Amino acid sequence: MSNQSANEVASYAGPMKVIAFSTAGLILAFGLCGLDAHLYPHSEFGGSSLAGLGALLFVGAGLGLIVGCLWAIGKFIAGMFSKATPKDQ
Amino acid sequence: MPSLFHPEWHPLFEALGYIAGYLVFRHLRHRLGDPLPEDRRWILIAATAVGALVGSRLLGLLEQAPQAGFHWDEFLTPGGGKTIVGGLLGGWLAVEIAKRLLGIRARSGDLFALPLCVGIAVGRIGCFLAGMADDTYGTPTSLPWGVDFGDGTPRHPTQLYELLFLSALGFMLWRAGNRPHPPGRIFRVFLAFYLAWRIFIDFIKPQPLVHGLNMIQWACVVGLTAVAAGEWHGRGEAQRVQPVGQ
Repeated sequence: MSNQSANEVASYAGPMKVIAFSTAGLILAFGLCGLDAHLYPHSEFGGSSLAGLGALLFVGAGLGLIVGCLWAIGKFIAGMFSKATPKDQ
Repeated sequence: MPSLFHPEWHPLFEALGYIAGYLVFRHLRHRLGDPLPEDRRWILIAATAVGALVGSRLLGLLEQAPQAGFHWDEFLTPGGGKTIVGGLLGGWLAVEIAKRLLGIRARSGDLFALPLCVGIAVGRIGCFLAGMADDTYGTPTSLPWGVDFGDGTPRHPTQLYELLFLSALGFMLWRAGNRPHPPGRIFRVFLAFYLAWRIFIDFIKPQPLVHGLNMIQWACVVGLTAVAAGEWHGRGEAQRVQPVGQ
């Protein structure tokens, strides 16, 4: 791989960290809500503090995942432009 | 007297497991070095996490399918379970796909083996303390160390058996990692031993069976076959011994 493309990939480390940690948060959130659903199968909005905590984590981790993905897409688009510029000149 | 077992322990120890695994990974990466640069390592970690999420949910749903049926709509809803084996296999598959897309040929899993051992072991403490709320308890037993998780029946503490197994496996991997070894061997040994262990230990878990094995055991059989095929495919590479610290 050339130095240029290696540098492009290098810039993805930040968003990938966000995506990785957010996904770990989502896995944990599924565990919290799943446990609550297992304990209180007939409770529509959750039967314990587990559901509330899980819902909070869902929202936080979900937002993190969206931010990480948008950041990565932004980096990708920025990389395309920076690659295109020298050719245009 | 208040019961030792409470479902709230599970998420606490699960979170501690993630943290412990990550800290061990960071320590190993710093001490032994990494065959991959920072950026690529994080792409693979992100792929692992996404693959683990999908795999753990998918196998969690499949595990209960013989009893409750398989409902795709539950995949993204909070109910249902998740499984470690599904997470491991899903994460592994996602990494292999990401490596192929990025053109990475280096074996990258050795740094994950010991952190996974530690993380799963810590998480299993939570499974044990969650009692009957978690579906990881064993079948009834008359052995003196049988544990009453709250239903009045002494059962195999399969979570503690796994804790002991992972401690031994972790020690073995740590020793092996400090000696010259072919790249990727540590991870494949971890995966093979853990999947084989799960086939064995799940015989004393009260899970619905399909043709004599539960769905997790079937997934382990598939995973072990893939490990063996990978080992066979890369047998030439196994001759190339990697010195410690790379």
